[in-house]
Amino acid sequence: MSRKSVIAGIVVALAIVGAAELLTRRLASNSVPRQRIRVIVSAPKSIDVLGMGNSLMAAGFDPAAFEEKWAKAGRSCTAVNGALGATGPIEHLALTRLAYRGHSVAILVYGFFDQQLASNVAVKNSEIIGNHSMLYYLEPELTLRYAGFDLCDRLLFRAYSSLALLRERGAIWAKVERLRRTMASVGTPGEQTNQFGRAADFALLEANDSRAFRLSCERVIRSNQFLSAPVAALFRQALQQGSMVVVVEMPMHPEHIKRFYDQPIWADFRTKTRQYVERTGASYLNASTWIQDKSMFEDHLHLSAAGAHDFSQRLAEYLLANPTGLLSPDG
Amino acid sequence: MMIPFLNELKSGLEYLGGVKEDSPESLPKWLQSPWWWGIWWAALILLILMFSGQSSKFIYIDF
Amino acid sequence: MFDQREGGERRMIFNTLPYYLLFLFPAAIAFQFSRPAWRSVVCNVFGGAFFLFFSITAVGGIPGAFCLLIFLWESAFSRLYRKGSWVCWVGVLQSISFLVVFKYWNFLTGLYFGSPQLNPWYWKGAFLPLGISFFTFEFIHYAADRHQGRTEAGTAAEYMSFILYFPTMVAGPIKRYQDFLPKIRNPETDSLTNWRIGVTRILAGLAKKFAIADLMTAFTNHLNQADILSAQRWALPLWLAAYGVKIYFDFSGYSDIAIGSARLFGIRVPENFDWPYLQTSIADFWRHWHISLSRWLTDYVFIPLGGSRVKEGRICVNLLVTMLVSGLWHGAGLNFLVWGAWHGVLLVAHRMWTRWLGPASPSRPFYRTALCTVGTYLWVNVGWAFFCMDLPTAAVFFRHLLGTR
Repeated sequence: MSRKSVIAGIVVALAIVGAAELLTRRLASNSVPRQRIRVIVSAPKSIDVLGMGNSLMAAGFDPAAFEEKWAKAGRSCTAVNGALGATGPIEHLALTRLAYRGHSVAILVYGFFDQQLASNVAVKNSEIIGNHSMLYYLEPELTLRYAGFDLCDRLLFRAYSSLALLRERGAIWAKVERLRRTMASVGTPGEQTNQFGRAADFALLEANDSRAFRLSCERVIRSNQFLSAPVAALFRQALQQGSMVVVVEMPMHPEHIKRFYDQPIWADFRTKTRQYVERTGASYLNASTWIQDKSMFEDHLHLSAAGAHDFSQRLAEYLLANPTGLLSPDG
Repeated sequence: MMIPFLNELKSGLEYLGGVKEDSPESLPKWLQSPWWWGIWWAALILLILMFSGQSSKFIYIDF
Repeated sequence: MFDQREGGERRMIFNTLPYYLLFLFPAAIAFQFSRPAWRSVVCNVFGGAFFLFFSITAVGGIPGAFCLLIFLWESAFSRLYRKGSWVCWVGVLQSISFLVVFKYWNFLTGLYFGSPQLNPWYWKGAFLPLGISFFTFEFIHYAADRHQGRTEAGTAAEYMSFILYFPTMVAGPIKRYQDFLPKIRNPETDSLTNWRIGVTRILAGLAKKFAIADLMTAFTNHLNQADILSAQRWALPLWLAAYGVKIYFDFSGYSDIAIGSARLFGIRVPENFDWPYLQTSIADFWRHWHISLSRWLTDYVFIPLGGSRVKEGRICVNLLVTMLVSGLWHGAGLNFLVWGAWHGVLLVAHRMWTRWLGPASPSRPFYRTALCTVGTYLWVNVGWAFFCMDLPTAAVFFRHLLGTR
């Protein structure tokens, strides 16, 4: 092939890849993180209750059920669920800051489980896939500040931010992952799934065993750092804007409670975490035992739709009865 | 008839894969054009991009 | 993270950005623009840096990085090789001892003592130096061929560039010094063609690896006892066939990347795969699968044992021994020995079959060719069961497949 032909071929290849880039930008405009961003941006200017957190809150907080309870008490209410599955504290901070741009929020409800408030937020660029991809475009400076990137990851982060094919690669890969799961299911017993994926996978979010759980609690207690930097910044932001912040220990499956929360270390951890949270000006609510019926859970961590309805209505009752959030931290 | 056809197919695939430098005589002319090579290279790049995430652990795939 | 069978470390390297941005492209460009006297230096500098970088980040860590000293030692020691000299045999023995110590120590001591807990010689921190299976075979080839006078010495720098040549360091093909030396002295200078062919080959290799080989793991991840026992029986041959597809596209894909990478330097290294699953006999399969290894085994195991120049019974033994060595090279485990023995038996059976019936006629009908091709493919695929599963799991697999469990 002549030089001219090779160059022509390269130009054609670049043009096709460029077209794929434009198509990806277009298709990604309706990705799940962007849908969540739109929900927040298009919410009424005055938000009474903003739910924030990861999939536990995304699945567990039912704004309609919450509003219904307040309406029955004669209080109108605008509740918004800004939580998003498969996200971390940096995303929660970015989403919270987005909510406060152009909106007022009376109550911020931040849901968590286990040692999530204190968990290490360091992330590598290779891990920014799926819903984490919002780190590339929603206040990327927050990611550069909190993610603990080395120089290589910093450069890659900047490069990936500018190309939709790389930024949204997780969404592309998810299609392949679904193909793989279909292939893997051929000739094998079916696996239990829920709205987020395979139920068994969520066991990976729990500690391996009670010993590992205990060691994680002890590690946090020893470090005396009960809130990671972005979580602390999130609370600070909300409190400075005049919101009441309620940090909720989310309802846990009875198996999870029996395996982990019934350990003495957890009571100690919870006490210290509560003290730390309350020192920031936020209030702490232990809702871990609010739902005891196993059928109200999709898996060991996530509430089902019925469970979310019950939890949200009970949360609404609690906030009605505790307008300052400082009474009865055990619900 | 099958064997010559298979041999031509093999030669064609080897040419496309960079194993052979010179195109087989039986290869259609359009498969030797810069347009085709551009499409082929772009297809390989996009295939690599699409399938290169299989070692990533997906717990949530609701995105 | 690291697959103990041969080639596991490839996964960590050829699909990483540093391989391309820090090593391949800068090295190929530097090689192209450097004076002839400096080409070996370029290869040695980048090869040494490659070895250190990927030892530390992927395989072996700091202790693995220290194994660069093996290359320095080998380069120095190889200067003592002369035609007919016993020093060459020392070189062969020391290469074998590197393999025994790093790759087979725990396996061999485990054969005698059993489990690690009962094995006083168990090496807890065992690691594999990057590319050990390939570079030791290149060391042995050089020593043996220098002993036979089949290759010139070249300079120390040239020999080091041969053994440290990073495109082929972790995935082969296993090179021959007498092929490599003229190419590093006079590489192909048509850069446009080199880069066009090389990049196309690399892209094709990556596509084979990701789009086909990795996809097959959706099936092959089930090749464990728990999943086998809970599967429907008809799924088992599907999973095994998927493994055959996966290993072919994975290994040939990496060979494509290695060959394409070398081409960017203007250096052609040997082809390693030539449509092995379309061959009509097991002997032809081995002439088309991992060709550089087959040739190495032929020249340095089969022929020294007597090859085909001895009595028929002895030829069969030579074939078996050669394939046992092949099995052991692929992995330190009894299942790999069984895999090698399986292929040895097939080769012996094929030899006896062709001696009885005569060689296949070139003008045989297509359906017979197709039957032989399918038959060869099936025999090879049965053997993959021993390659990808340990012996107890393979036993469970076949018992469930045959309905005898």
